Amino acid sequence: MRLLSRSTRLLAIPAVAVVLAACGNSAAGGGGGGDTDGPIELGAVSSLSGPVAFADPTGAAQAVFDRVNEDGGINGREINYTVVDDRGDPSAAAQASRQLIDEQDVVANVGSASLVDCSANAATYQRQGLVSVQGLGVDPACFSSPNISPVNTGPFSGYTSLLYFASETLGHDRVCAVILTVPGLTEGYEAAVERWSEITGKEPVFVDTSLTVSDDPTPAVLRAQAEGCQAVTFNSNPPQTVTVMKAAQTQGALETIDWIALTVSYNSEILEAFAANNSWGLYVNSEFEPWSGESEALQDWRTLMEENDIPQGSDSLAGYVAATIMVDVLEGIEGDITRESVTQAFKELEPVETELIGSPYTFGDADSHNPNQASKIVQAQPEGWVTVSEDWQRLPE
Amino acid sequence: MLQSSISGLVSGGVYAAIGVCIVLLYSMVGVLNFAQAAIGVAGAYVTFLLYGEDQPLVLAVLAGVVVAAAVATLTGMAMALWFGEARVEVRSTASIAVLIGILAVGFWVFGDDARATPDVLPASGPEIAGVVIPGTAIGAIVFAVLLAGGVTLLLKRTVVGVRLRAIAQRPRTAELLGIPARRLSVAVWALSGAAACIAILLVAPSRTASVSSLSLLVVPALAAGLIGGFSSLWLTVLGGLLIGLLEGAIVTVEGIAPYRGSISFLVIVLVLLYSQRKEAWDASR
Repeated sequence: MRLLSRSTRLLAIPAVAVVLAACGNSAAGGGGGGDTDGPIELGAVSSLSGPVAFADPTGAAQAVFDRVNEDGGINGREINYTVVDDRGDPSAAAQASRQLIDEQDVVANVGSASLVDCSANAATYQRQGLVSVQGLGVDPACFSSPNISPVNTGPFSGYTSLLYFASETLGHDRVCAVILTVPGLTEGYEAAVERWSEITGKEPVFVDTSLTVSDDPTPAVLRAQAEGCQAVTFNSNPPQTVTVMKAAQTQGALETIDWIALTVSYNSEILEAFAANNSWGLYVNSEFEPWSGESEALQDWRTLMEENDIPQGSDSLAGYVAATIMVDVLEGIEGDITRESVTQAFKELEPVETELIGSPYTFGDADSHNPNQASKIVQAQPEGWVTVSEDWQRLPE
Repeated sequence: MLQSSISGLVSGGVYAAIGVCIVLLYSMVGVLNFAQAAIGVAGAYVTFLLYGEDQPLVLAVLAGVVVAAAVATLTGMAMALWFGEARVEVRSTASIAVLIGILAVGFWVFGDDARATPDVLPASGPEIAGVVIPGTAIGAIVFAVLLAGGVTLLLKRTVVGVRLRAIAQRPRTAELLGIPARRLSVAVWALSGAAACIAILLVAPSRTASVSSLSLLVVPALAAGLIGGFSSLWLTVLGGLLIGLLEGAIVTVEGIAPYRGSISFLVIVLVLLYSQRKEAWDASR
């Protein structure tokens, strides 16, 4: 033993510890998501602060899990839900996923709503065999990973459904697409226009990509007027939506053209801006049963949100849908609930029918998932958001 | 082409007005103020807030202008205190810090919610070549011209103007003659802040109302100032209108339309190349 110097012996201790830890881990339950008696660990990586903040999806999911826990948990095991803020920053998102996987030992992610989670973490989730039932998938990576399946439609399929609504439901021949350019997303929107052309065999009058999100939209409005557009679809965040509608109103194009925007503008704050400008009539796609409507399918969600003081809107509905799907899947698992068994359950998941989404939620072992291909269209009117299509509009495959 | 060029005039008027503020500050105080638009935005958001709380528009606008003037005054005082003797490059760089500060605080406080921005002037207006020219557009152009004219008169025809010019050209001599240099330069800051706020209020209804996008209107305004060589107010006004017109016109040109956001930079490069055409590159190194 004297041959071993003091420092060598000291080095040996952590090495033994690592080996022991590794044994312990594998004994607990095959590749993480271990403990089978304690609470079931679920996680989410969400943008809770930063350029765009989504607090409601995970807030709603937490409310669903709290109720499950009050009712005795899942087979007696409580759900412990950890939400980590990524501040809209990819490196913070990567750190957040490591924290969830390594420290919390989560069995799955659910209800995440983030600008960067998918692009930063899709590869990690795949490597670690972790599934994420995304609440709000925003970036393209959310719809192109085998381990992520969002409950929402997302901007690209959403944009296709706007065009589909213009040409098929409103029956317009002259449909114009305005794409406010955002680096990294513009191509996705252009592909969405092509998909619409493939589905309907129709071509847009023009696809305008000359404006960025911060430009004065008047030139696009004038172009739409000059080329005789009957409907204009545009991808805007709520502040830009207000500006586009105002420019349309100033140029007298509010009555002659139907203006159709993505679901992010479907909120109650924007109505105040429309009221101030008196620019009504905007159509927006709702990715879920319209939250502003009267449908009975919304009853449970509405009560739960009221009890927990969570704002009622698409965001909290997305979190609610994701969390209820997760609870159903967890309850259906026979045997231990571990990361492995949860991932397997999702990979073998039969399509889930829910009244809140117009097409079945699927996971399965496909390479990419974008199951929510249905929308109902709502219109901004002085009395509030009005559902104009009672039936789901489903995009054909 | 004509239609969209005309629609670009709204922006042009505002670039011109902010450009005039920048040139005024540069020639009088020796700061290339990158935060010029952002200071106006700080005031404009106070107006939006008060208007959203159902306060009368006149009151909201007045409060906004006062706040913008106050922010500019504070910036000017800080500049005089900490960078009084610094070179123009250092002072201009300090203004970038002010810009970033306003962007960060604005983002934190106001986020990116949709909000209604009041029309300071009527949204409807005369129709030219099938384009409705909003009252705000005409207002922006008139404001830029009035601002340039007013400042020119002030500098050439009043005692204060003479003193300002004295400070700009021989700061130390002016101070020795008993001219209150610091007070006067802070007053120039306040004036430029108030004017920037009015310009931002005029353009806000036709733009995306977010702190960052409105604050970055300083880029085309800087390009306009460069056309005026940071000394000529009238050339700056012309430059601003020209950039606005170009931005409007280019929308209709297939192929280059997506690059219209870069026009300001192109103008900057071209003006620099032209103004430096006689420089021997080896000598200036």
